[in-house]
Amino acid sequence: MGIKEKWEGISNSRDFAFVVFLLPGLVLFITLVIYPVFRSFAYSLYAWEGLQRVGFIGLENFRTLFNGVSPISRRFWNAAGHNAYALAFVVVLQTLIGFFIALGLFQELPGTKFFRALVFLPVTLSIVVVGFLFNLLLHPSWGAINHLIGFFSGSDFSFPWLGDPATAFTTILIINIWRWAGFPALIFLAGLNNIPAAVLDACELDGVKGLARIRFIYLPLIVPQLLTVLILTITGNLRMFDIVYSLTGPTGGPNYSTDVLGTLFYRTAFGGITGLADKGLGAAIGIVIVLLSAVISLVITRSLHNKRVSLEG
Amino acid sequence: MSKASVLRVKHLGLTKSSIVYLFLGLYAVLIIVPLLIMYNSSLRSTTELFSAPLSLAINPRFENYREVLLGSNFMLHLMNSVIITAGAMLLNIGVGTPAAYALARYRVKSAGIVYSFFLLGLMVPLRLASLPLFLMMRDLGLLDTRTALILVYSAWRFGFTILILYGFFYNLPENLEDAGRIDGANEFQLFRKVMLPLARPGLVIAIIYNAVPIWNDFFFPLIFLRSSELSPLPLAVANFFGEHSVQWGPLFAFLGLSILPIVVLYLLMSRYFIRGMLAGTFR
Repeated sequence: MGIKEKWEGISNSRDFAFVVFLLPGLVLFITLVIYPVFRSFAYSLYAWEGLQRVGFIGLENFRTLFNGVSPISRRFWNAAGHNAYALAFVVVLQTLIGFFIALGLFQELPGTKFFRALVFLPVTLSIVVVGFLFNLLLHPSWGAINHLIGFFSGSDFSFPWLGDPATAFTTILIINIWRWAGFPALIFLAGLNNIPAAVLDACELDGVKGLARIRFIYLPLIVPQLLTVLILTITGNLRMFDIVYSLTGPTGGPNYSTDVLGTLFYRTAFGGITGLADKGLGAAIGIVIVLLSAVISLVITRSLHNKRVSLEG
Repeated sequence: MSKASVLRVKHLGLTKSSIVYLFLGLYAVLIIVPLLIMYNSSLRSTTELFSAPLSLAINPRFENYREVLLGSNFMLHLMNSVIITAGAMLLNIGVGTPAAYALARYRVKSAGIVYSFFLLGLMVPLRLASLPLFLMMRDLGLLDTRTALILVYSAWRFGFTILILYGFFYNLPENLEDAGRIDGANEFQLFRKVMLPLARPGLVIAIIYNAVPIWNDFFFPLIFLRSSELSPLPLAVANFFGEHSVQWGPLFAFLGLSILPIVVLYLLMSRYFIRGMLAGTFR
């Protein structure tokens, strides 16, 4: 058998084709996703000077991060507190708004298609562009929003929504909800649309209406969608960065009142803005965000899993 | 999708439908008004905006747009966005499609393991591995290039492409392959001539699902790029704001123009957008 025939035999085999199809993707994925992720873990265990690793220090970076007294630790707990507040605020409000929009769209009244497209529109927009737009709209004296409030209240109104530490972060979260709420809405809608017509007809005949229908029919049947929404909202919130950057800047102003783990990670890993830049600590903050996302996702999956209702039996 | 029950539609009374319309209408206003103010403001002069932010642009001032289109590098940034997104999608789909095909159609033992390995990658936010990626790109001499972004984006979205296309290939009927083999096609011809055309709807969904977040991404350009002439639109918006902070007319025009490509595409094909952008969330 000549080389040519041998080659034809190999190139026609399914094993060979399997490898050729798979290999380029596998190489891309391992070098640019898996390898950097593991590197990231390793980096968090080293002391760094600028871009140089200067020694293995075990979990020292994590200790510095958690101890509560070092400058970076104070920034860390401040940012983590804001993320916790964001989780509570956004998860509750955005999920509820999303669910009610889904219920409204589910009625399939005339014009539903228009509303469905509109509700999802902000989700397609760049978060940074949305942030800078609201930056202008919220300007204390020239912003449209204060003028709208003034117009409806009948007197001039001026308030620095993003400049006052008391309101800045909540304002950011509301804009974040403006950008995102269409996403859970359409996931819930897909869940509602999956409910068999027979179940809905039975509700009608038995007179199951209003809140009872939402509580005992809709909710149990969209638990998988609720799970998806909760996990995406929570992990998304732990990574929050663009919206803060564009509304109050990379230091999460005023006076760190809108600083979150995402902006702290950026400054610590890449910027020297606050004089706290340290690659090892930056990597450690990244790891904390990943682990928090994983643990919270797992807990939610566990706790909601047995509340799932299957119609098949 | 229209499994609408006859009974349900009949029974939604006038009061109830008014409540639904009121709620949806109110939400629609909340979505539309900021965008309308943006486009209205983009047609007014900065002094007009400062004295009366909400007045209508009765004499539209197109100079703002001229200033952005001719006086700034807007077109260059738009091109950067197109090059980066298209490059990343080409590489991503180019290596992702055959991989998804092999995993879904060659029912060999290792396929299941490799598939779950790829899905595991979906759980990790790549942003948090940006530090090693930054150092890697520096060592390769790729910092401050669009190539770095194309490479990172294509890998970042790889798992999603596999997830979406795997489903499409998995559900294609088996006898298609057998027919192709009987006709004497080898494995590669089979993939290209028979299976690939059938997976086209899946490709459209995979492209929308991945291209929108790549187009909108701000973080990786922020850390990888130094030269402002390489920046895609989201980073260009941030730079433009830094340089023109008190020229509100042009600022609004820049914002309006930078979301225009997505808004137009979305209005033309919102159904595909919605299907595409939700595709990765169902398993």
